[in-house]
Amino acid sequence: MRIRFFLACLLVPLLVHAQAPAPARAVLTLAEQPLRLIRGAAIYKATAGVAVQKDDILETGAAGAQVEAGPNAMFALGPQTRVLVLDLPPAGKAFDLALLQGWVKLMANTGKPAQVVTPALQVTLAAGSTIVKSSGDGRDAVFAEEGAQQAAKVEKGRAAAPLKLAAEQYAEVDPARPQPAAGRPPRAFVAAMPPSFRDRLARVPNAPNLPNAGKAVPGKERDADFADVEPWLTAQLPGVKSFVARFRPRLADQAFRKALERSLGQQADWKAALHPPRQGDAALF
Amino acid sequence: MKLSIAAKFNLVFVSIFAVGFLAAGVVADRLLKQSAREETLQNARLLLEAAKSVRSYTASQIAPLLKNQMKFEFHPQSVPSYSAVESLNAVLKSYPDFSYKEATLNPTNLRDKAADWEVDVVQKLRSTADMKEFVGERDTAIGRSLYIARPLQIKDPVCLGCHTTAAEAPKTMVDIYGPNNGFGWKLNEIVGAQVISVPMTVPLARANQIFKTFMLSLFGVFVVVFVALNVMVHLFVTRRIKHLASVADEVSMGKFEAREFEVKGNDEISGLGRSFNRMRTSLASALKMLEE
Repeated sequence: MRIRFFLACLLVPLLVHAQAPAPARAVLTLAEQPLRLIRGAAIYKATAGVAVQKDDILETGAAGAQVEAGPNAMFALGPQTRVLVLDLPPAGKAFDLALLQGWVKLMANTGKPAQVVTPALQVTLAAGSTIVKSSGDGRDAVFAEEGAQQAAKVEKGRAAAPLKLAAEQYAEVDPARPQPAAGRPPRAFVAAMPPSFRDRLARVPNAPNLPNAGKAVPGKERDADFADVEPWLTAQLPGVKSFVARFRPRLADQAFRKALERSLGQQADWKAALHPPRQGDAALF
Repeated sequence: MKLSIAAKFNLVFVSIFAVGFLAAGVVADRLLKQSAREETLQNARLLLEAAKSVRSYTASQIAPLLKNQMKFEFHPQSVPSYSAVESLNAVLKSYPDFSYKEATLNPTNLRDKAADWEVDVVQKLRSTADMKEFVGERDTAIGRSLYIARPLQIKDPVCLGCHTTAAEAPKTMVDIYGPNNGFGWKLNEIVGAQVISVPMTVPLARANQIFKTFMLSLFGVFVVVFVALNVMVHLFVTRRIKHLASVADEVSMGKFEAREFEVKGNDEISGLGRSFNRMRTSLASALKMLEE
């Protein structure tokens, strides 16, 4: 009898847990055209329904895309955009994105601060919505669409003192100044912004109910060539240090290896990966 | 003065007609002007209702859609007064004499700033809470003008989102219009007036046109009646009496062989002719008996 009672006590929390809704996974809910997904060291074609994972690199073509992790955490990508997912809910606290190129609109209302980092700018928001542009010329910009945010200039991978942005304020990195200045968005920024970003970020209708939401399998195209990942390997962004380990298996490909050695062979991390000390060398000492 | 029956008849007829023509002219002129003015006001009221509908539609359906976009770019299309003016301007292409304005005491867009006379109208509407409409006339450079004004009252708290303070207003709006105009509005306050103006020459011209047509028609009817009556008097009265008179003249001179008065119909002159013929026969018999 006691054993039965004991088992029942063990089962009740399990049943309660089973009935609780599962935390939302980050899923690519909108892809007007298939995205290029770099997962591990391979290139995939991602369509709506594919689950997004930590360390995934998403690259859009001529059309935009949207990733959702529930109604309070989502981001949209503009066309010609390259983004690395550094962290994501529910496993992580909130979306943490490294934007190499293009436009990202990020909405975070989960109570945990989300972040977007570009080569020149770091944007942090506790709650609200932000639009970040990475232009590649060091003049990356942010528009605080909703909620207070912080923007800091990034130099050599390090963020300077952050600037507080109120809702509807804009900041652009000026390479000549230590801190971006807050103001109103210039007409050129608004004109260049993807038109869909003008509307409030909202869940794609029926996306949570898609039969394959989070279950669609991205189609593998091939292993990544050096040209595919060169912009990421040479970028000064958080998370790129792990690329040495991530792409080390590709060094077995002579074309990849030669191209990488030409471009990054002198970098200490890659030098060690390209020319690891032989076991015999260690024995000499 | 020796006047024929026809002349007397025509004199009376023309006199009565002249008096009637003048009286009809005066009454018709007044009624037509009043009617044209009322019709113009009715058209203006329809336009005001259309403007009001556009305002309401914009506030309830367009503005929410563009709310987020206003953070990036100011869309005047989401502003009720802008939509009303723009749509009315399109309609007024078909009514080129009419002009529409949302005359506001403290507008965001200075295009809507009330002129001096409009300020007076707005103040009248503000001072009389239950006044739903004000109709008036005023002198302008191009002549007398008729206008109709209805109060613009802030009944929807949503409107105050753009008109309370510059800090609360959409920043893109403040970027364009500045922080000084169009703020400080209060709920249920009459902030301006919808005003439709039309030159008085328009209803007057329409009234005059109808008046001319009416008077010409009336005159045409008179001419027809005049001619018809004269012809009938001549055929049925004058000519027969003249004929009867000539026969009577001949009989009076002892010419009993003269032809008899031809009797047709059953009217009074026919009866007179019949009586005359009988009298002539009796007279002829009496004279014959005397001669025997």
